[in-house]
Amino acid sequence: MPITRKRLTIDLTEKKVFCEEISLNERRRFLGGRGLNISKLFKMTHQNTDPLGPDNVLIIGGGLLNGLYFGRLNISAKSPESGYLGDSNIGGYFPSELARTGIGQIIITGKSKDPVYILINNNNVEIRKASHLWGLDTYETQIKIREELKCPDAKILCIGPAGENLVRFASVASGYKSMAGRTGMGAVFGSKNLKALVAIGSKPFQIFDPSMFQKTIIAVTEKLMKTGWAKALGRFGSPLLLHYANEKGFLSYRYHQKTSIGRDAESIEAEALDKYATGMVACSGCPVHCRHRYNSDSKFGMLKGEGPEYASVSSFGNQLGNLDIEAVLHLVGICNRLGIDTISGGGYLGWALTLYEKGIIDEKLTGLKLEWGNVDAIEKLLYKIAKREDFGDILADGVFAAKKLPEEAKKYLMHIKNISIEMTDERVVKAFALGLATSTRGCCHMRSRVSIDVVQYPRELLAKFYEADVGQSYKEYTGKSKMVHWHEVFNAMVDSVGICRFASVFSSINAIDYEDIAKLLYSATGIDLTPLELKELGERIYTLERLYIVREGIRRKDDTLPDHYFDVPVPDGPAKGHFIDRAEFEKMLDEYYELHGWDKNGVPKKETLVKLGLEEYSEN
Amino acid sequence: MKIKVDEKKCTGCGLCEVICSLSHMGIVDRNQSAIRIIMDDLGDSIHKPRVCRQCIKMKCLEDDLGKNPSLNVEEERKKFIWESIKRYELCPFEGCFAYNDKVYHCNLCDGEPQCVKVCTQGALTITE
Repeated sequence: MPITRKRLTIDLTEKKVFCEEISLNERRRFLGGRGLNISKLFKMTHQNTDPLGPDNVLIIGGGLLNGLYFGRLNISAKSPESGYLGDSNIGGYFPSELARTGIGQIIITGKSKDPVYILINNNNVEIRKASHLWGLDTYETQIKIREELKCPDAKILCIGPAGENLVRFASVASGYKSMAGRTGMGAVFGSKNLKALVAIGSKPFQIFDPSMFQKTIIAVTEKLMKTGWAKALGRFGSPLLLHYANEKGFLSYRYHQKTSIGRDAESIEAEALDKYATGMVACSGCPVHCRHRYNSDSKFGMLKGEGPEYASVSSFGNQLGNLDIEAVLHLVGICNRLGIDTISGGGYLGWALTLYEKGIIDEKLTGLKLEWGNVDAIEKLLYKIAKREDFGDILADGVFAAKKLPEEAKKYLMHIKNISIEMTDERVVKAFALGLATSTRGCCHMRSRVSIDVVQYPRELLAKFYEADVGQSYKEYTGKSKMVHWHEVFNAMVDSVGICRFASVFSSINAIDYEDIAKLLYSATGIDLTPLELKELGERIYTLERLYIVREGIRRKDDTLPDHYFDVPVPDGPAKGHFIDRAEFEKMLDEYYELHGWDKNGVPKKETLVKLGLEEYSEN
Repeated sequence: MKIKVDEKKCTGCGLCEVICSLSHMGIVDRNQSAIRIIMDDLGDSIHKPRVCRQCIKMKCLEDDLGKNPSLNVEEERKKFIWESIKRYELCPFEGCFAYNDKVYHCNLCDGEPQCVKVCTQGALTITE
């Protein structure tokens, strides 16, 4: 049964492995994945925990339905990129394979003296030497491990050189393109001398009500695939969003200098990938199949892989003034191999290119002509970041790089809670802006992005869905706090089940919802949580994450946006003149805290903690 | 009737394996499924579903027919589990699968193949 999957605790200092049950009570309160991770991370780290020190813990938690329907997991730790909450979600094939070993959560503590990798082969757990893998990129690492284990089906999570060298925005990779990208979880792997985690699993899953579960899977799949959104994703993948962003004026061109580039964007829109793509592939258990596979010759040599996602195309395309799709594929491929998060990576590079343009840094310091769209220089800088060489060593520290640069550099750095601004510019879409400001892991669109607000739904339908007046347009402030709150809570629950954002309510209100998840959970596991209880579970997770960052000192003052969003109206294009009004923003925040049951300073109220059963965390 | 496979369309999601074992065995286990995807996730990403081709002349049954000429071929066709490992060895197409001394064979779910229902990309289709 999925609910009998166990928890492994692995001490890399002492090389000890401990296996225990995950109680039904924990499952009912947090399900799995992101929820179960924060319940442990909160207790196992504290304010003085050094994210890159041996006392940080690395938690890998699988969604409860992994291996059955969909399959995603969260990697959580204190973040080296922000110093606050680190948490990143990944799909691909590893999460379901881990579930088949009978393991639901792995907690890694301490630090190995030498490089190692962890092999979980059903009931056998081995800590194996990895010195021979150190320095290899993420593809080479996975191929080499499969060869040495003589197991072509082994599924692997691993880091590349960026993680090894403690680049603060290093990712964890699996397969060609599945990445736990944000918040620097790759650097936590590196800090523990942990190169990879390997799963080989063949355990069957007992199902609570097989016939009901079968019917539910078929019905939910049918319902999901009827939505225009799932159909479009299955054809174009997430890059289809680039067109929307450009059309409505919320993409970032040259680090937020412009928010739309008209027809110039066509060269990097989803259709441009058709020339290279040979089909679509899916993560384990997902009927949507949203990523391209490509295998094509180019001016950069053979381009081979999967993806890229919209966020990666936009981060290494428009964000850096690069409108050449081949160069985008090439640069994103390099990031994936080196294990660099494309979103944060593109953000910090965008900042560096801005500083270069303004003459705040020069070629003497950078060793490279950091001009917009200079693909060669960007490529070289990526390698320098991963290896922490020269100027790359400075930029590898993310927002903390500002300390090593001229004072004026800080003025142009855009981040929220120490995590880089992204490839979109949210000045016109008010719900997006609020969601970035309040995200518990720092600047992140995936915590709440109210994508529904920008697609063409009749407003009265949206008002009914959110049970509130959500205004007449995405450009207004009305009801946006309600929308952000709805998605923050829903997404926290969905991440704990292991279902993807793109399959659940995100851009379509007819995608997988609370009712569907309640049925799936009950028929698969017997856990009988009602949609209302699932909502409360999502709130429990989100509030506990908030409590975690509150303990780190985060308050209302930090739930904000870069000054650029407030002070500089969009210069031209469809969003011309839009900016975030400070008074309106504060009003949204007030409403938002109220909805969560947090006080005016963003601190969860005592009665909220009692209601959610989180009292045990309040004294920590 | 048989299940036609278009490898180029397979996304590698594995839902066919999930639903097959679920509907026939009441559990989820790719080892107890009569359809399998050979994954190629670090190669060309072309995944290959394998399932019984419903051959008119069943080479898989040759050995058993030799031993028992009165074996009812049409009855065997309808079975999901075969006890004879030899059938797995004789199939020239990797169309059935051995696991724990049993062979898992596609019996077309009594005319309503469940795997086809969850293959949203259409890599699996029904043909006569």
